[in-house]
Amino acid sequence: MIIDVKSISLCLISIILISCGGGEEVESSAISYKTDVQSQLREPVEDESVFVEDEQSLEEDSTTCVDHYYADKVEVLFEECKACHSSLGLAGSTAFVLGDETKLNQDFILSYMLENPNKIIEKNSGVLQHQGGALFDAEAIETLNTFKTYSTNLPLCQEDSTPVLSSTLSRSNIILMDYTQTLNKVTNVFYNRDAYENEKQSVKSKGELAAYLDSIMQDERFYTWLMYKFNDIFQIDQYLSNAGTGNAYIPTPSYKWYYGYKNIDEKKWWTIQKGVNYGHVRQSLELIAHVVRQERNFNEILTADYLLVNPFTAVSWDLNNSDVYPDNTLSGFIFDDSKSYNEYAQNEFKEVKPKVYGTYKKHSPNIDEYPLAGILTDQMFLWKYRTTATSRNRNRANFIAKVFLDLDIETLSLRSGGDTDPENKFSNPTTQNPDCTVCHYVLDPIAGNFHNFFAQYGSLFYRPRVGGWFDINEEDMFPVGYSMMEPLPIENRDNSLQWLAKKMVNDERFPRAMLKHFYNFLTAKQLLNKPKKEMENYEQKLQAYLLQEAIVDDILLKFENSGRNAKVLIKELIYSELFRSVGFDVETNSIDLDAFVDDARMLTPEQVKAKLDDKMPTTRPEFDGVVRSEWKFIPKTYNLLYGGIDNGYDNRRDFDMNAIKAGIQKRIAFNAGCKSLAFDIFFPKGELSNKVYTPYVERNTIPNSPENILKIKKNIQYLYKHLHNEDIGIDSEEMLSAYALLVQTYEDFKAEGSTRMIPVCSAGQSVNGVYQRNDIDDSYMVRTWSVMVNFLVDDYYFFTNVNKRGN
Amino acid sequence: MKRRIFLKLSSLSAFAMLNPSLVQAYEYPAYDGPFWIFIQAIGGWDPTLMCNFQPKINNLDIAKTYKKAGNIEYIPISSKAEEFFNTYSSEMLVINGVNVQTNNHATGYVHFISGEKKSGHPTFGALLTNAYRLESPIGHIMSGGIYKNTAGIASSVSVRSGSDVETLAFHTAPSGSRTPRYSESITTRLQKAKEERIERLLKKHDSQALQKDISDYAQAHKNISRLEAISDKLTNGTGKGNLYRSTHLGITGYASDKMTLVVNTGEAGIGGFDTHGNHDRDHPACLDRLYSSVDDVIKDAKQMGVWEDTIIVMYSEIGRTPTYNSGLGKDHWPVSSMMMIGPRVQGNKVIGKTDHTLQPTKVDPNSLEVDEKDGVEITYADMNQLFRRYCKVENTPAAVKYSLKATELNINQFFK
Repeated sequence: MIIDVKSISLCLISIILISCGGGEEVESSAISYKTDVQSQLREPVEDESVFVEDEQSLEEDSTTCVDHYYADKVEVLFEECKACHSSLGLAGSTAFVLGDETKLNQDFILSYMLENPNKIIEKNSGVLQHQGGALFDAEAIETLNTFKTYSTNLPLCQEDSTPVLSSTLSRSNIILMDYTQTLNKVTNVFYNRDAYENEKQSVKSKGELAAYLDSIMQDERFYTWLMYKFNDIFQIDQYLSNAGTGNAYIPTPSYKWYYGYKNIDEKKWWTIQKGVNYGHVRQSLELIAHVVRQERNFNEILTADYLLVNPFTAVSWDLNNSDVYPDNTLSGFIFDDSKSYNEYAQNEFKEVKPKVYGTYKKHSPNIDEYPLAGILTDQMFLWKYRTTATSRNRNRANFIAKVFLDLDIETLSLRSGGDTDPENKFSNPTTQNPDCTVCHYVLDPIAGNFHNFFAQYGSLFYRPRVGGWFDINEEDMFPVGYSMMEPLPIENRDNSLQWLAKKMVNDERFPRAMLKHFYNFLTAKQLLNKPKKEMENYEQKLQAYLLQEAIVDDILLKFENSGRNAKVLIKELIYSELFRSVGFDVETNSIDLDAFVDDARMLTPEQVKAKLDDKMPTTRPEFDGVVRSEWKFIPKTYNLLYGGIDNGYDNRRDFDMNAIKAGIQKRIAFNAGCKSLAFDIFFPKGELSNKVYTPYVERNTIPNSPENILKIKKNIQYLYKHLHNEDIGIDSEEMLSAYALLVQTYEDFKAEGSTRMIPVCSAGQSVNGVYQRNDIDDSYMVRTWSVMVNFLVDDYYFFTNVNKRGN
Repeated sequence: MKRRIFLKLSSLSAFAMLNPSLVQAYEYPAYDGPFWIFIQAIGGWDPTLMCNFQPKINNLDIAKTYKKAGNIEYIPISSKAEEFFNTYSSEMLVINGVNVQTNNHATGYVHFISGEKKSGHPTFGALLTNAYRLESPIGHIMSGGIYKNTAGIASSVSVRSGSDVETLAFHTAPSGSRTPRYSESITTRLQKAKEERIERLLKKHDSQALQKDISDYAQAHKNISRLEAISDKLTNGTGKGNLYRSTHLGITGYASDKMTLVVNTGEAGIGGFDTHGNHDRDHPACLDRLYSSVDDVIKDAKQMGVWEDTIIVMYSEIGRTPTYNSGLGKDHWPVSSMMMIGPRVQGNKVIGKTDHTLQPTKVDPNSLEVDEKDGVEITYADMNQLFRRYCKVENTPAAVKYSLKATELNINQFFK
């Protein structure tokens, strides 16, 4: 059963006052508590003036009821406090714990002030000891005192006068694209192309879309897409380019097994090395694909107690050694030297459970098989996010908290002044200086679980740190666990990462973090965070957030009910408003709300290349270099210029438009209307032409008769659809403009008089050793269409994924 | 369509794009410099091997002595170091004891280039470009790096080659050529058609979010026309390496009507400083590379005639510990140093210091003299605020929206 997300925050707030159960009971307990506290102070009244002692001051702050005053003035005072005074924070075990719900915080703070008069002020003004220091100035103290006063002399806000949104939108106000349009978006996501006509004809309903999605998920291209997306997070493909990397850093029992080939058959040696490297480097990504493909519980990406090996790494792991594996059932993996190496697919993976071997066994006599925990024990993950003597796995902890729990520990340190205050000569600042403990209190317990995988350089696999565990032996780290409230049981010290993995997947933040990733994969957008009161356009932001949360809760419930089948999660996201919205049925006049329902994102370099290949396919592979020489550089030379990543230092995709990217787009457009267009129009459909540009016209179709004009317009109509997926009417404004451009361009070329095309854009080719120029454009229409194609490719719609086309 | 956005586009678009002479005649807001080059020592440098003399904490014999170049004490770890400090000390301002407030690479980097530790604030380069060179396609050159956030107020470009710019500037010509494929009349007609298409798209979409996206697209396409005007002056130069290439492009950009105001070397900076192992063996070599590279950049700026306006800021995202770890390395430390070099800075001067445990001393924000009682520790937020004030952008709407929690340091102590 899914845990009610909202009830958890209620739980956290109520932690010292009520026993925290689960689900609705908690919520009702908290609400009744809230009502009790409020009623101790004041019942709701209708006549405000009865309780107003100082009307002047109320007019000044425009406060009419206490809830508003709290929301406007008081909650912000406690924002910084939440870094520690939250369930996972340094002060999470104290009697003062805050959550995310403003109203509940208000009630809690009020009750706390009633039970502990002045304590909050004294703690925050330096009177009482407070690890967080004196955070309140005189103005803050006055505000808090005013809040206390108002709580007894101001009315409670009526139900309908609580801080409200100026307009109320519900999910029913969201306009959705139909299932055929959704299909088109789906094919663009997974295949970087528009849906084919026959596909559109077959998908008109949700059931038909579901069937289509099922077929996609049987297609290996889906898993390529999945791994490509997760690599944007892990960036592990950084090591694919150097075939020696995986083997160099993962010294498996028989890692030298192919070394001898180098002097016998270098090609074979190279192929095997690449295969070994691929097997090691891509194991974590392949694990994700494996779990999804098999429809296993998605928890398994962290809890898998097996390793994935390909035919090459299977040998590295000695899995063909019958002495080690007398019951070996992995014969399919045994590298048969008599076979051609091409017969083995480097991306064919299977599950194994390797045994602890050699010297590592000495360190872990209690362990027979490696205590594997999915990605957490993946060797290349451990290498990429490696540790040091002083980092002590904290980098790893920080990363996994962010990726798998959507918990950004570094944001807790925003109030930190650094570990440098001369007044604070701590013997161990990490565990003593509040400026440091604010993060380390959360970070250290998680980091500690990596102790058995501590080796800094060289071997990265199971190798408990010599000298024992920091928290026990050196006492300069916070104890290992899931949090300070949940220490690692002593019996789990040999398999701490397995224990941690279970804790993480049972944390309600895990499925939400996964949903967040998949949402981003599908839409290139980020889930909205709850806005803060002081933000610009707060109301609109809050409204968008609340709409989103309602949708997210629904999807999470279905994900949970499916046994956390990621295919279900992906499908439910696609069916939902988060994927299918195209706008609201009412005017919003809000960029925040519009952004929530709209989806416009510049294509990545890889997507541009895929789109070019799809829209303007080459007829012969050897033409690729000649006809479209610049296109293939999009994901290479132009990759970083166009906002791509290199999995190393440049690891954040950049979607901001700038002039350099515009220049790349323009070059692409000119190339699109160049040589490939010439071949397209010079030759009939066949070996030399796909007729993807000019299916309705020939070279001599000039705008000189009603029949030809109609053909030309049909071709323009076709190009809009083909290149933009945009439907334009034959008499539309868009058509009128495009046709005018075509005719005027034709007249320009005609007036210029030259019929010779520039060589680079001609259809010149060698036939049986004789070069045919094919560069005479005596009707002027080849170059006219090249301008038209240029016009349509150099277009916002061509380089951007846009949901809303509204013709 | 929203009238505001439509008007903005109308004013910037059609005729300016059609007529190159109008493009070149565009007048940017007056800007009297400086030209900023931020060079990062990637990984966290050790100022005690550079400009913060602390003999008690280093094993290296050479680090137990210091030399002086004018008023600046430096560690003579190599002849290159001696040459560097002796050559540039008169135009060099050293700031020791900067509290970077984190031990984390990423947080330190974000803190330095935006003045705020949490992601979300625009970089200083974006703020400056927003105020003075919004129309320039290369106003802010940022060569990679983990934080490129512009908060949507200005774009940055990751470009390191003048020839890239030339290729993209002459986008109507085949590669390697400047001869347009189409006649001027056809080129003009095509551009006009594209402008009208943008206007139709803006009318078609009433979503503010989409309108902004289309506007950004149109603005970027408008800006590229300016590349042509400066591409003759953008050269690849004679130096090597990413750092040289990205700074050279910026130098030529500044030399061309101050088209570039900021270069942030990002990943093109000098790397290898994260010496958790064998610190004494590896760190000096990194510093030598840094000194050599900065020397090349300064010579290039002088050769291109922009040195009088140039300020080079050398920094690292974090510092290194006062002690060695078991691998003879030094780990992360939240106190570091900065160096600013250029004719406009108060040269031959050192501000701030640390004790031998690398605790920063407090300084008086006005005199910048040590004041342990009432002084403050200098932070990256303070330095960003200083840069903002020096360039007179502290009160722009973007700067106000992304204000910093910073101490106001006396600007005259840093700049002439």
